[in-house]
Amino acid sequence: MAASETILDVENLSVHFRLGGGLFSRRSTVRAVENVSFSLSRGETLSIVGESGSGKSTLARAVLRLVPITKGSVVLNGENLADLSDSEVRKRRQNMQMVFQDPIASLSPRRTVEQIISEPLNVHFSGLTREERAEKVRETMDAIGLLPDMRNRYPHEFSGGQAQRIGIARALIVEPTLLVADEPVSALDVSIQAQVLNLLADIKSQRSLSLLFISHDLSVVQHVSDHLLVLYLGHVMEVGPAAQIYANPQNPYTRALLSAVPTIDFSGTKPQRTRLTGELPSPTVEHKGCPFASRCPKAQPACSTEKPLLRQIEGRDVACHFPG
Amino acid sequence: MSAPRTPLLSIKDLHIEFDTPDGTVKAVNGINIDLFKGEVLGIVGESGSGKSQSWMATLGLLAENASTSGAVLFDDHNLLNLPTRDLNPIRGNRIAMVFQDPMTSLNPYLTVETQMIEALRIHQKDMSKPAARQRCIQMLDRVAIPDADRRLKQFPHELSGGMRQRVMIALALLNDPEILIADEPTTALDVTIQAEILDILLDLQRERGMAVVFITHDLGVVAEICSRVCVMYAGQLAEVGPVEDVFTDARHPYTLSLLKATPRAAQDTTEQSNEALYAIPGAPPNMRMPPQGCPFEPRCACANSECSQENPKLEPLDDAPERLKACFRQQSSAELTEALNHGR
Repeated sequence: MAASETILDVENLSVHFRLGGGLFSRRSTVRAVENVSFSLSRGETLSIVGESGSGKSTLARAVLRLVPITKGSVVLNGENLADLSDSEVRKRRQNMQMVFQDPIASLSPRRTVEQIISEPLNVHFSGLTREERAEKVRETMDAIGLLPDMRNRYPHEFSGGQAQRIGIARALIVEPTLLVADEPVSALDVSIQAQVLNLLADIKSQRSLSLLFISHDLSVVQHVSDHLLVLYLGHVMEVGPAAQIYANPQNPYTRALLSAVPTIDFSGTKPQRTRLTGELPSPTVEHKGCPFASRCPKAQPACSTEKPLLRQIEGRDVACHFPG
Repeated sequence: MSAPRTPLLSIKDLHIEFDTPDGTVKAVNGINIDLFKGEVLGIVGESGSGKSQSWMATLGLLAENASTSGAVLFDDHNLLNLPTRDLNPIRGNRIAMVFQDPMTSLNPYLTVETQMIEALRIHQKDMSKPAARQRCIQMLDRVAIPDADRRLKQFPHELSGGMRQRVMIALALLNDPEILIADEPTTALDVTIQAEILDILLDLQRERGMAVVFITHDLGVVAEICSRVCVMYAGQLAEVGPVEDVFTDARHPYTLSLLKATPRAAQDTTEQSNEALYAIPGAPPNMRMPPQGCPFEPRCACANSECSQENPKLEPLDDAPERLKACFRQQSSAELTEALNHGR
């Protein structure tokens, strides 16, 4: 592929939340995202994976500045969102839209499909006439596979898959360059999930949209991703081309995560599962060493005293003292 | 096959209906399932396929507005019409169940210890408290809960999701059941924790020769842990057979569609990942008005006129009597795949 245009460039992004500090609770800081860097080109998909509590949703929300950025920069189309005021960020949201996990809960139950889909136009295309708005809604519904005569219906009349299409239509109507999808298919059944995944793939290629995809389902992620970012306790463990990471993970955490995915494979060539013991440590602890050291099967004394930096190994970046 | 084995539990022509203000929902429509000793039987299907309700019925756990017909035979009893008094010594004791959400199935007001000891002593009345406590600690150790003694004194909210589900499994296995029904026990968990819990479950199953019914929507999990699988669609069985046969050589168009709709995390990264998934058109039928023909007919790429007239029965395959399917079409897996690729 030729060198393509970078849409999103995230550098050393950290998001910390202060907890407690009340009369009876000790003040502590949740380090949800620590020093994360990645970039995303036009028309490409980057997926963020990790266990619950790894910070994947927070990272996505920070990119949209839906949560305050503690440190670092998020450059979208050449502009650092971290430097902008709230009202300026609001204007930029035309370029960055989000699709949420729960398709029904993310749609207002009292509004019709047309009202829901056209709402972003109030903010970003307020100059349109009534006819132009209606036309835009029709076009978008058509592109997403919703019949135009559905426009006066309410969300509860739709199944999960169709409700998710409405959510996608709402995001696409303002023609964003970046679409952030946070677990967009987790609430859907397999047969419906395939419809939505194929739809996302189609619109991505038709509109050369960049997609930031968050999912805990590593099979779905493998299907949709160009690039993969593996997050553990807010730290990037491995980031690079998805196919290469899936084929040959270099960070022991990535390896463990991928080997835990149940697969339909009767060939008997499945790699040995790396068993992880214990659970995710508390995110309020600041790690001197590698955050994964406490559960890592390959951990050495150095791992808990010295934080591994990302370095290039086999065509991707890996944060590990003992990769491979 | 050798002499027919006697099933441990048999579901015979089970129907379940729910009476709702909007009409009667026909959730399960005449299913027959035999469960054998020591097997891990997978039940797969999408939401609303009746996969959970069929097994809730075996333990008398259906909602108030449910009515059933047919039979669930276990040890000369029909569990469906057994009075609660006679059902109680069976459920939780000889047949145990683990549910999807461990937070709502554990009592938040009681410590793990209280709940476990209660489960033991309700069935083994002469067991002393210290002996019961000892047994609980053993069981928690067995499901890899470290520091069991301390964990016993904790409340459910003090445990992580994976820990809670392990407590649920320990609870279910306390009385050494012959059958464990696990309803999506790992769906709410991260893959790493899921893998660990599946390993524990399989170890315990082998060690005790217990039969496990594993209800899930995840075909990958079924492929990894089950020996036989029942594929359910719209309250009926579509296909039944050994997992490997069904998954590598599916004969029912629904089974095949489901497999083709599932993204595979395969080793084969290069060729698989960008191929479009097969999206089954439409949505499952409204179970208030199930179609009179095959319930999958409106979405099926292989259906013909016969399929919309009559509902096919579940019958053994000609070339493999241990496999069953409910479909009029007699095509091979390859022919079905061809039909799927070309649309109807």
